[in-house]
Amino acid sequence: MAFLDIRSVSKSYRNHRALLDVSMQVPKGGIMGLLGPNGAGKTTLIRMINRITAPDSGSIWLDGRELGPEHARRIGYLPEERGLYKKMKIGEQLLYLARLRGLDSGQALQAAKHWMTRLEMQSWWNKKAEELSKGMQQKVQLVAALMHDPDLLILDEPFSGFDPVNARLLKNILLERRAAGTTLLISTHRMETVEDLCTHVVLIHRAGVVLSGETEAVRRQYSKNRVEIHCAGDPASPPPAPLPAPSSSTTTSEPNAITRMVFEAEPQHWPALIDHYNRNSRILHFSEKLPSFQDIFIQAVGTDNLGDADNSATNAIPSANTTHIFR
Amino acid sequence: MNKIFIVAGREFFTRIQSRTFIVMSILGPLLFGLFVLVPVLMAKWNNDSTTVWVHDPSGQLSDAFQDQNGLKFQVLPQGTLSNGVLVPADSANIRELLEDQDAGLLHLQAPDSNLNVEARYYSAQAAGLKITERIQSALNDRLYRLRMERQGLDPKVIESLRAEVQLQTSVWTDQGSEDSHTETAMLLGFGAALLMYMFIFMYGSMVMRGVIEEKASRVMELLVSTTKPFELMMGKILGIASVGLFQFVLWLLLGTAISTAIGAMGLGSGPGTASVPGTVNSLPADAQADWMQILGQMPWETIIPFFLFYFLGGYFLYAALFAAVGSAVDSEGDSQQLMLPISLPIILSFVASQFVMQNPHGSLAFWMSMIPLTSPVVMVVRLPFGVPGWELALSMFLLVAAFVLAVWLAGRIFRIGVLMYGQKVSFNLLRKWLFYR
Repeated sequence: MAFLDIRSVSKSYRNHRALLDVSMQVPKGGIMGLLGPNGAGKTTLIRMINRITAPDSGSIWLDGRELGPEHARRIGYLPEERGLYKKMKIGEQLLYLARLRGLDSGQALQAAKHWMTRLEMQSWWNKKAEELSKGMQQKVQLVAALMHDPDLLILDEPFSGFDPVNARLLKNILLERRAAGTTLLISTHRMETVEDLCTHVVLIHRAGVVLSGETEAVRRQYSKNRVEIHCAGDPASPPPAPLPAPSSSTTTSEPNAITRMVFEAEPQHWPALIDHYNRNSRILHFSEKLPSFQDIFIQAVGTDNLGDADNSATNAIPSANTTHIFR
Repeated sequence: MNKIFIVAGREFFTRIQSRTFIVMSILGPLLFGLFVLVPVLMAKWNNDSTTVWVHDPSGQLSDAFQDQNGLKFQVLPQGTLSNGVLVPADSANIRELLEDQDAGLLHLQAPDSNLNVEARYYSAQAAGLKITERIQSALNDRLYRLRMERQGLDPKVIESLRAEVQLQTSVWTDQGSEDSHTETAMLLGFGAALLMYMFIFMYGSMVMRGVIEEKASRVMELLVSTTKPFELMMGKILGIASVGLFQFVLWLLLGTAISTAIGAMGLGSGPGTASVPGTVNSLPADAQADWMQILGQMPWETIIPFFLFYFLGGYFLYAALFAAVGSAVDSEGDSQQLMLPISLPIILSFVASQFVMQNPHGSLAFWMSMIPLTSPVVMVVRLPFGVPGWELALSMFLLVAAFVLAVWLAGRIFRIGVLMYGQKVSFNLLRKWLFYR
């Protein structure tokens, strides 16, 4: 059974529709990547799970129970709009936020110390937020999201603003949390995050889900049967029909030239292709080329573009199949 | 419920640790003390002594002058005036006398047959009002007596004919009549109203700035995800009220210490209370004792609990409204427009309280002590004059009802307002938010 279960949720604001009949399930211990163009409704969805706004219709269930105030203790949240009290000491802010989540003072103190050590920020306890850089403040907020050891961790663009060292630290922590049984929901525009972290993805576009599923399955679904072959030298002869010609081919300079070719070929043609190049040359590399999430994202959201209510006026790019944006 | 106290605790402890709070807690009573001290010192400095040399050839007038308040009169031996310079018999040089900046010469002609006198005052610098008025009234008084004597009237008889009525005021009750003290009641009411006005403005707007800060720094999103807006708002209002009360207690303690110190320095007329020291100090000693006695007769047992009720009730109501304004705007600059409808009733009730004092049971007083936005200040002004029980009950009920309504309203705006960043707020938009489903 899904740990986080979103059932047919809809939400409209005064003059635009943020979400329409959105459903998704995140299994316990899964890492769900929440994707979508700007203004697609991701933040609205995240705010609903955090009970900041309520859905107009539909319901959200956590661990088999409909979401209620008691779930504040079980959810950790790193909002997109990062914010701390400017004049308050870091240590005190963390204690305060943890107590609002439901920890008592003793637990809060212990958790704050643990996580500040883990994130290498022990010396910040008496610093005020305004003395810290943006990335440093983000670490503080990350601690605030982790302190009460939540079962569901919601992170809105967690990697933006971190240097590579901190990004790696964060990634390790997230994987560690997952191993400990925490379910994660990560909203992001960075496709590499999805590729190396997420077990599941869902893509929201124009207030609705346009694709969802396990990360690998989604990549296969969007596979265009593209294979890449590297071989030694320059095999001048193209493969005979019905095998396809390479859609692209580059050869490095002598000596020890290597030719890299990409084919759009049905799987049943792959052995014949290998045969052909093994005869004419020597194959150094053969692989199926799965689409990147960058490609999948663009294909799904696509050329018919970001013409939703929020940004149609500025972002609309006229093309043959986008007549509907001229409202 | 528990979260209200967590929020209130944060508000209280972070605020009392802030530099502004510490500075104001010390500076407050010092400024207040200065308020008391300055008039006393001013009166003292004004009492530089002046010597008036009196030249009275007739000898009939010079004993009319009596030394008082730094004015000293010295009678010169008789002499003659020549070339504008008086030459007394013993040849003392008048010019030398007048070289002293704080000396003057009063030259009096002998009274004529109608008992009119020509008098002239010489000094190195033009004489001040204080000196001329004193001399004139002493002379007038003396001539008045001389004329009465000439008419064969006994001044003592005339004096005994003078009438002076002091109007006493009493309140008629079922138990009989009680003395009332209109002036004391006015002073008391005004002092209480001033205190409340200050409290509402200082700490109410602190609530507003707190909400704006949380919105501007985006902390709000985390807060709202863990805590109900009602708990957040209630915690904030309670926490800041405790800050205010704590500061008042500090001020009272420090103020008492300072006024005691002033009393010990012998500048003031004793360790007056910190609340109305200006009045106490400006009264002569016996009047002060009277005043204390009258204060003792005020119906404190009814005034104090009601004062506290209206004090806190008024603060809660306005703090909730200030919080609503705070949650509707993005920055303090934007709050000005929405502050107006809130500050107006407070200012209005403060202005009206002066008329209420003159007629504490009139219809202005009645209506303004019923309307919740003005009742905290106006009712407190009326309290020392005595207010019928049913009026108090109704007004208190309305205040509580308005408070609940204001919290609801503020919570409503809060909930929606905190999530609408960067939208310009107009009254029209506010109206839409209120009735948004």
